[in-house]
Amino acid sequence: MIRKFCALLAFIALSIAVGGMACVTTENAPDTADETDGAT
Amino acid sequence: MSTLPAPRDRPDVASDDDPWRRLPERVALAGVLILAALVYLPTIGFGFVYDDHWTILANGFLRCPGDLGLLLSAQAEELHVVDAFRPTAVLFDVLSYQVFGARPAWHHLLSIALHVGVCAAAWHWLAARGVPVAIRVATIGLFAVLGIHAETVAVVSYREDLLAALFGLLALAAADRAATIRESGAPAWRMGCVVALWQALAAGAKLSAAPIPAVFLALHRVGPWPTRPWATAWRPFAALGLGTAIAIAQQFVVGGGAAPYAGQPGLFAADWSGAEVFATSIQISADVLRQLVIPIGFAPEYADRAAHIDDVATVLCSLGLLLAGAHVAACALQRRAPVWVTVAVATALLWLPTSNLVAMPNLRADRFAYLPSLPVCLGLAVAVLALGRRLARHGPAWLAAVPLVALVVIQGAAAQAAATAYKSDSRLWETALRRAPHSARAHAIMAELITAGLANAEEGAIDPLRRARAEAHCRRARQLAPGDALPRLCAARLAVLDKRWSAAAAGFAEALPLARAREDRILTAWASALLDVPELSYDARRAQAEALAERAVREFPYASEVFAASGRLYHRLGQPDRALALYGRARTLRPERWDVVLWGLELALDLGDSSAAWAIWQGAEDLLAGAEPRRLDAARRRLWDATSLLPHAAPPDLPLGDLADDP
Repeated sequence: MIRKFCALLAFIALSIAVGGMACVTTENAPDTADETDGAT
Repeated sequence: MSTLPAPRDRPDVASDDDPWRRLPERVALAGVLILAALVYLPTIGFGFVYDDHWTILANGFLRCPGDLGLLLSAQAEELHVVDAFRPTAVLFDVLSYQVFGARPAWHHLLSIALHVGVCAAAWHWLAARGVPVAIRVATIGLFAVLGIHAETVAVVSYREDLLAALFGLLALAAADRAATIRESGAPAWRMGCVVALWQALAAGAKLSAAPIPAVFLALHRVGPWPTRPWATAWRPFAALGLGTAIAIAQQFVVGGGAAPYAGQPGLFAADWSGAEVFATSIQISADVLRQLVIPIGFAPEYADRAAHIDDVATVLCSLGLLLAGAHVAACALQRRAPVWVTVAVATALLWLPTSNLVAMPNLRADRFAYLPSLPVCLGLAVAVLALGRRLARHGPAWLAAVPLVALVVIQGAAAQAAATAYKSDSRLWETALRRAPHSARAHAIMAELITAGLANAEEGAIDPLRRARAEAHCRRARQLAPGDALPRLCAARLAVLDKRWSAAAAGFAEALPLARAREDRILTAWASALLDVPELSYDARRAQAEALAERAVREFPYASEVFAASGRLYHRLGQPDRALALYGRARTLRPERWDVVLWGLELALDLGDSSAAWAIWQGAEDLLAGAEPRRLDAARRRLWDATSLLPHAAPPDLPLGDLADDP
């Protein structure tokens, strides 16, 4: 049962990583050319 | 771990043939905690964003642990100690700064650890309530990866929500344990003290934890899992109430009331009519509930626009919430669907503090849903487990896990995607503008960010496109919120960039009375701009600038920017002793500022003390490695010239070398 649980966790973690990247890349990349942490 | 109660003959409780029951509890807990950490692991590479700048980086109070006693007096508010009405969060920030300095990776790691701690505490509490292991795994697994938590975990300064949840859940777990003690002897008192302490720390981190005593009481009356008789439950309830009262008393001492933002100008919840606030809050509450279940539409910024009581959306949302409330009441009276009643009552109670009953700067933010999302996760967990069991009846056994796994993956992916918005300020406000194009604040701050970037450009090398973009955002902000300070502030900063000093000074003067907070940055920027206003005589400029700088120093003794900018001002005015004292204080309040070191070095060179300048250069070599290359190179060349041409100049009688020491 422990092995199955670990395998399930690994599968979930991988799926989340892939899904997260897919969600991010469906949007246009934001303009970060002026990246600075000064103003706010 | 507690002994699991025997499953009951109900669909919401695991049955004996449930595969989860064969999984050791410790392994199950470790699994969900690892998942909680893994989802937010990428945030370790993120920087400081959003409120981190003024609550962590520029907050000199964190560098003065000897002044922590101020958090118990009204002086804290007078001296503008940031978030003085959240003593637990401030104390935690002081400690974490002393340990990790201003290294963002470590602070993000700490936020992840706190989120993992919250998950562990929630598990602990559910175990103390006797919730079956399958439901615990599903609830905490969902809570660990819930999409709406991205802001809370990814932004360092929002760990106040994490702390409130962590201590609040520890208080609830301790209260449940205390409710099993029948005698009123020493163990009951000891346990009561522990409960009160945890709850005081929770409500002291953020008052979102204030309804926890009510949650404890409600769950003991309506919960599906073991309840305690009032004869033993009243003591922990009283201890929880005492903890909340201690935190509220601290707020009264520091701010003179339970509403810390009450005195700020321009708060929508204070300016709008009661009906408008109610209508807006109803729509927000319904949409947050939707976001908890369907994880789309998260944003770092939501445009605050007054809704009306007769709007179709308000009517529909009110009707939906009213029907849900009526159903919950009917179920509670008939003692049916206890899980649904538990989830609804606990969610409603925990949502109360952030439902705009008390005026706050933001009507809505994802972080407000952190603690209230726990009972929602419990409800979702019971629902998906029931769905899984139904699926497994018509197919292979592994189908039982499919709904839960699918929901965890969807929520986790949404959380990871939402967290990327908080990687840097530019990315954050770019995302904010996409999600909330009608937010004046988003436009104004974007204009300020672009202007700050342009200010570092070489003379005459300002990109006209970026300059136009900054102005466009600034104008749009003014159109959207003509009575707000931020559009005036960004216009004034643009004027500074263009060297239109009169317009800049006028802009800062207009912005100051409209500002909700952080007037220090307006005061110092105004003072600096005034020095160059051509319409004023030199004496008038000098007198006004000095008056503003002194006011800022007096009113904001923990704002590093005040001392750095005021030091620069006195440096320009030819008062080296005052400038040195202010630079020294600025270094103490924010030792990570390389520009203050360069200004101190310039001061030493201006006074002809090349040996002190050399000592400053050598003492801050590590810090200067991160300085802007153009300015660093200019300072290096000046230092080289001074040491070559004036090696034996008589040094002034000033302890300039003090700036070389690491504060």
